[in-house]
Amino acid sequence: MKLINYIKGNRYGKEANRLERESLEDAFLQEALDGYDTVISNHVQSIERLEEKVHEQSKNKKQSKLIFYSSIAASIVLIITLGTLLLKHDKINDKQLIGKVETKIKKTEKKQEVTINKEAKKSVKEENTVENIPPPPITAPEKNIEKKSISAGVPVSSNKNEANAVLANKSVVSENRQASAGIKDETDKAIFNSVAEVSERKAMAYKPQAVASVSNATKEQLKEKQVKADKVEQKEFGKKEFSSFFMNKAKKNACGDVKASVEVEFTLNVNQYPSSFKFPKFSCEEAKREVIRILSYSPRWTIAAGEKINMKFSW
Amino acid sequence: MILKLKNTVLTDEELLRSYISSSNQEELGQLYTRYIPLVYGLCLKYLHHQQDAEDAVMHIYEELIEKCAKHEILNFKNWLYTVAKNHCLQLIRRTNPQFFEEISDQIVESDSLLHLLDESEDKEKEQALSMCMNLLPKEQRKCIKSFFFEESSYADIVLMTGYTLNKVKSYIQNGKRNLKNCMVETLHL
Repeated sequence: MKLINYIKGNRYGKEANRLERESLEDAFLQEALDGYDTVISNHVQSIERLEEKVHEQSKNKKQSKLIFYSSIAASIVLIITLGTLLLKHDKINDKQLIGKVETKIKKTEKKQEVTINKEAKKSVKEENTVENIPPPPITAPEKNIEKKSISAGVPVSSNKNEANAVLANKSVVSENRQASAGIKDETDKAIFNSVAEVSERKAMAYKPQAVASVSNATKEQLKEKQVKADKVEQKEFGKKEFSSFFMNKAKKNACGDVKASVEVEFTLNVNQYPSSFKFPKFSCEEAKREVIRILSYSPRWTIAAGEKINMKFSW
Repeated sequence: MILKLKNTVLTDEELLRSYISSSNQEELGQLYTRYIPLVYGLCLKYLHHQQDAEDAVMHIYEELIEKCAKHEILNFKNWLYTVAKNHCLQLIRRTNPQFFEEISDQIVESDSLLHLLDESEDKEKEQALSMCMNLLPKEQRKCIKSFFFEESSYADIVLMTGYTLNKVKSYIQNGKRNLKNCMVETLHL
């Protein structure tokens, strides 16, 4: 007889006796039968309920295990994909930033080239058409001019083209943003800021190669540009050319009614610009000043640097 | 369904081994389900409360999940009996620290008694048994005779004698013990 039948109430007859005799050998069964006799209730329902619970629990445990392992697997996959996406995104950002910087640099270079060409054309026109352009207010004596050139670390030039070229030649890749305050040129500032942005965002040595490559590229391009500008000005310019240049620029009636005449001696500096002026003879102070003004405004000479030149002007 | 059918064929130990190797909770659930009536009955005996007994059955199942992997189980039924009984005793100790369990000599006695009865062919033993039976008190003799010789159940004996169920069980237990003592003395075992 099955225990469940005994629990159901089939406790009479030989079958029940067999189970009870069996319980004498089996302590577990004995105590279970005692238990059913102790509490009188519908135990069959309780047993069925318990069987269902155990079945559900074992199923849930299996499912929960499955969920646990699958969630671990899913989270690992998620972490890997997110990681790769972030890395890719970072790389794309770097590339975009570098691209932006490069385009900015290209734009500024183009602008500079345009301005250089324009100014070069202007200077050529000036030479040809003998226009009376008001000279820049350079009143500083000879010594001051020399001092300035030393302090700036770059040659002083009276020409705007020259000034642009010199500025462009300045350090573009300086990492210190404060240095940008010293750079007056807008294009230089833009390049400087964009490069500084790259260096700051990439936190130290994360992408130094990219920045370096950009800075190198700009340096080279600027050098090329300067060479171009130089080429534009590489027309012959000597005594003859300067005398005609002088006659175009010089103020008439500098010494009033008297004819102005000045004898000047000067040397060409390293950059082939007139320097170290000496005036052995001059008719009036105003005429002397006029000669200084025009000499300092002079284009680049094509005569070798360091050569002493003596000239006489009378107008 | 296939698993269920397959598992009904497997023995307890085979099913247990399968569960340990695969960690398939359904297999353990299947195995435990076989013993739910026994465990529940045992819990009823100790806890005297249906709901407590049901809770205990579920707690024991949860214990099994952990313990099965840790212990080397040779006989699942005996091991489960020990686990279930200890669990119930622990529960009782928590609520009633001064709990004393009745020491039953039933397990020890029953085997020898049945053994003796099985060898009834032995005349000497038969004579000794009939003599000892006559020496038993009337109630005990009546219950022993009905239960072992006439194959009546406890319920049958209750109906026949009018004793309560507990009295019948008690008469049978005490009569068995007295009969054994008498037999040992008579046969000089």
